[in-house]
Amino acid sequence: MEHVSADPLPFDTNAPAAGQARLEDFLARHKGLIQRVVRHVGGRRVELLREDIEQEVLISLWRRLGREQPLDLTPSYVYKAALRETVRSLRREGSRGGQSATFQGDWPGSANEPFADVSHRECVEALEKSLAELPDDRQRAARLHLQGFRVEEIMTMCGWPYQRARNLVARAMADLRVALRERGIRD
Amino acid sequence: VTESRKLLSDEALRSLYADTASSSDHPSEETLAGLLEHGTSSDERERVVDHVSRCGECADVLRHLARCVECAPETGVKPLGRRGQPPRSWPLWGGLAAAAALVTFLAWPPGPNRTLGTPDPGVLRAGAPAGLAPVSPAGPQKGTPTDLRWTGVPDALAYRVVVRDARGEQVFSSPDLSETSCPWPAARTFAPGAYTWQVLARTRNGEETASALAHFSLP
Repeated sequence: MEHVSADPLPFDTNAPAAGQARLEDFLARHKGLIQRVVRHVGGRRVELLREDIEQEVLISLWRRLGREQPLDLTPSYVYKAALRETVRSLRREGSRGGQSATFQGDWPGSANEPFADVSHRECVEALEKSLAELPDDRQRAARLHLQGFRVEEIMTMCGWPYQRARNLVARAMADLRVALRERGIRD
Repeated sequence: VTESRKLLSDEALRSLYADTASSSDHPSEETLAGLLEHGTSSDERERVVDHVSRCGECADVLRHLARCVECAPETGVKPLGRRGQPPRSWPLWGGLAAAAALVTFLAWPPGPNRTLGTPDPGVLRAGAPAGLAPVSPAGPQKGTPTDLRWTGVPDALAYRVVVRDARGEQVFSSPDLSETSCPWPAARTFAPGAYTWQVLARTRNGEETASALAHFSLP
């Protein structure tokens, strides 16, 4: 499996100046593309932070693409790389704000309650243990559903027929709720 | 309605899972995009899916690749919503609900660049009772609706409504309701554009069933 690192490598400061100039030129030419990615991914959520995030993405992309041969970088490749860096920036921004990147729920720990961290950690552990107990396919269906994927997406990713994907998600979530209730999270 | 019931909702569980789902050693974006192409299952695919199922960052990237119509020309990845794969569960939803959806659809067809929202998969089991159907809002709205209304079913213990934007992202989920209407969430800001909504009924056997989708737009 081809991998990307969680934290981009520092830009190679020993690279020849001409290479750096080419890279700077490349990124300047793709600034519009980066702005489009941030706009598409962030939408109205990042209205006030858009320029900061664009800058952050630009720097991250610079570091990341500094290891590549600019001439080999197709617009599609750069767009996808910018997409990753934008997602990363938005998640960092969400963490800084003390919020989930996608949704702030009502779980213990989302408010300033006494022992909130402990309660929240226990809930997270209960969820993880309950998921781990599910049979493989149901566990995968439940995890993908919890990641926000739709049935059509799950079926495509897993190579399942629609009906199978739908049933696995429904049954897995039902089993998960039973397991969570057994761990003290009751109706 | 108890607090613990809310804790077991899809939204709350997703929020909690977001705190567990993190990873490193991410697959490349090209590899992620490959998951959206139909193909036979393989060990490589399984490894990547397994990673995505546990990694919030890669899930965010993949969801965006799968859904963003505007990005498609640049990424070369065809959003799944454009592949014309309607859920096979539609015929099971009952005649009246399907007819209501068809009437709504014909009266206000979606534009070519909008991705229709999908029903909550966690509640699709035996299909919606025939009487469970959104009433209003439907179609273009002149202003902000005052409430969401639907026809109920006799054996429902509680209802909740879910509103999604044109990309299918959930933008509002109500608490459990005992009436067949829900005040419009005035505290939330809704951008002008197309939305879908549906009502979900929880019945005495503890299962939830979902209505057909209703479409409306805000000025």
